[in-house]
Amino acid sequence: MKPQILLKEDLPLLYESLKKKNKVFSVMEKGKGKCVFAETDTFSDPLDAYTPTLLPPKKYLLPQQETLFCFRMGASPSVEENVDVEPQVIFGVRPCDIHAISLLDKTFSLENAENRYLDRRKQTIIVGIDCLHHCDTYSFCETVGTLDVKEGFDILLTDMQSVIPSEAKESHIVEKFFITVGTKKGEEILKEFGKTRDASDAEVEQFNKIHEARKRAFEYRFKTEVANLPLVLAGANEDVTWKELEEICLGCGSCNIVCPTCYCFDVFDNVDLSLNGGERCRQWDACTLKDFAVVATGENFRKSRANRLRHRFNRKFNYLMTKYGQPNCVGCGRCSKVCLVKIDTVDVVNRLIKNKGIGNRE
Amino acid sequence: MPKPKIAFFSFTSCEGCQLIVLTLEEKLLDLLEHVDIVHFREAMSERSEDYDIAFVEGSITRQSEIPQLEEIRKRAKILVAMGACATTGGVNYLKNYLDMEQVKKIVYKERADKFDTIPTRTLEEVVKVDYRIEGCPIDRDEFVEVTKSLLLGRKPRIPTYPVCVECKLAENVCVFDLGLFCLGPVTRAGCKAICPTYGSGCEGCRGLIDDPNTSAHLNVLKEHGMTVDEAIGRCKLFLGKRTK
Ligand code: SF4
Ligand code: SF4
Ligand code: SF4
Ligand code: SF4
Ligand code: SF4
Repeated sequence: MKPQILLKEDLPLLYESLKKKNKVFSVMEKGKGKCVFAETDTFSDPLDAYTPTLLPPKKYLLPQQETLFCFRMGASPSVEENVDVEPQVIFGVRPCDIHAISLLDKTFSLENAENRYLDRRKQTIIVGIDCLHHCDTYSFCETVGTLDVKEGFDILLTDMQSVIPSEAKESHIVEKFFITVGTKKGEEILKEFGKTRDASDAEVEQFNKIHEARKRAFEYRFKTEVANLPLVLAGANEDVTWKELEEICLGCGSCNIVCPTCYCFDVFDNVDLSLNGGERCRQWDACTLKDFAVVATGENFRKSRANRLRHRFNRKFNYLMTKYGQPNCVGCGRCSKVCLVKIDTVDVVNRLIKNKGIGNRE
Repeated sequence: MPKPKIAFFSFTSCEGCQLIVLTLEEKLLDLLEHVDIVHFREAMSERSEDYDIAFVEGSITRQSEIPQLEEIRKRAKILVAMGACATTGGVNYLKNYLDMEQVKKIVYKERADKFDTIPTRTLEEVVKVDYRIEGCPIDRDEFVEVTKSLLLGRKPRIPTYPVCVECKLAENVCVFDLGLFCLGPVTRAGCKAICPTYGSGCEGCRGLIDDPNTSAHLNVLKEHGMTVDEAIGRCKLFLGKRTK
């Protein structure tokens, strides 16, 4: 399908039309300028005044806690899978989070297919919203290459006005969104909605210009090329940075919990009071927590906070990066933002680069 | 197999944790399918000295309580400390920052010398404790979890991580961003971060996690505008002896 144009004033209508057949989650303010994804009655996305949501939209694909199955023990044991998947739309997903979902798609499909995740994913429509300015001082999407997004969404909205506000003021162009259609499903949605029109050549050109222009609003923040990071991390096991972080890290897990690409979970049984059955549940886990690497014999493979943080950084910029050919970090900056002791991901990486003496970018 | 007999005992406390057990209502009835409650002052008048599991709330603040607790320990196969008073000393621990004579005068005025008081001790400072249910008051679900686990003979699932984890899972705005102070980063989770969820800072009622980074946390409090004295005062309320 050709790129489409949607009048800004019709955006709530698109939202309404999606609500007819799906649960729709969109962005709303929770207080103090912090946003969350929630099931909203009316469209309330703060569009321009956006900072990454407290928790990423991942929570609709891999909920914080869920029941996997119910079981009965005794003479005739049984297991009943808990199925709770229904069609859903996540409305207003930003480029970084779209990339994060694409990474989760890989994680949960490449080796061992994780069907709960994949079933939900199949039933999920993603309406992306492009970013035209840097959302937050902590984020670094452009650095890790996640600002541009080519796939992973069904439709992607780009605000055609907010880029060049000075021009917008003088111009008589109506406020509109440029829609990139990513999938067949996206096409169907728009056909059914019926209130968009094909973008003209001039509009396509304007869109391309906007994309070119916005790069200037984002800076590259690592002191070396991203491709060098696995090497940096691999050589940094004994780096003094970890010792320094040992002193200040709280081991609180917040950086993991808010991360859109972290996927580790803990599995446990919640036995009911009959003592004869119950639920098997899973809940997000976090590798910066003390007991994350404890095994059945009680041994803890990563006792110190420093070792756990080092592991987290290796997961983001070495182990999984080597596996997937891209960082397992999408630069949303949530981790740095929530860290009460101000451990900043970009800053830590740059310290390692500096100590290794291979900084080649300013 | 006969049903295990369980008993509830109370030392210096408000007995609020026992009340929490009573608010379990229908769950309590389900539980009674598997156990016999033989001693529960808040709920029944009969008493028995024959029990397998003792749930003990309250701290030890008088000399006369020591042999009583020792007796319970002797009889019970499993002793569970229940609630902040029992596990960390809770609010009772505040008196340990004062001189005992002074404490008696404050509380009993001219009748001070008629009463006996000793510095507050947690149950663990007197006898061996097998399990702890933290909190002021305890969390109902955690009481059920511990009881079920004891009956099944497995380790209860009690968080070793701090309140921040549950707070983040609940997608709360951090109370530090609301201009408040919070002990969540060093306090054991398990309460579903109820205080931050309702917009106030954690007071640390569930005690410290096993490996708290208290000095880093103190810096966080200072950076948000607390003086060291205020911060320590705040921790004294519940973190009891471990504040020192
Ligand atoms: S880096 Fe920050 S957010 Fe992460 S565990 Fe350490 S203190 Fe918590
Ligand atoms: S590591 Fe931090 S910046 Fe990277 S994706 Fe996770 S939360 Fe975002
Ligand atoms: S990190 Fe980049 S892509 Fe993500 S919300 Fe911010 S500006 Fe948009
Ligand atoms: S409000 Fe308290 S418990 Fe919640 S994240 Fe902030 S410091 Fe942690
Ligand atoms: S948030 Fe803190 S003070 Fe409140 S119940 Fe939990 S541990 Fe206790």
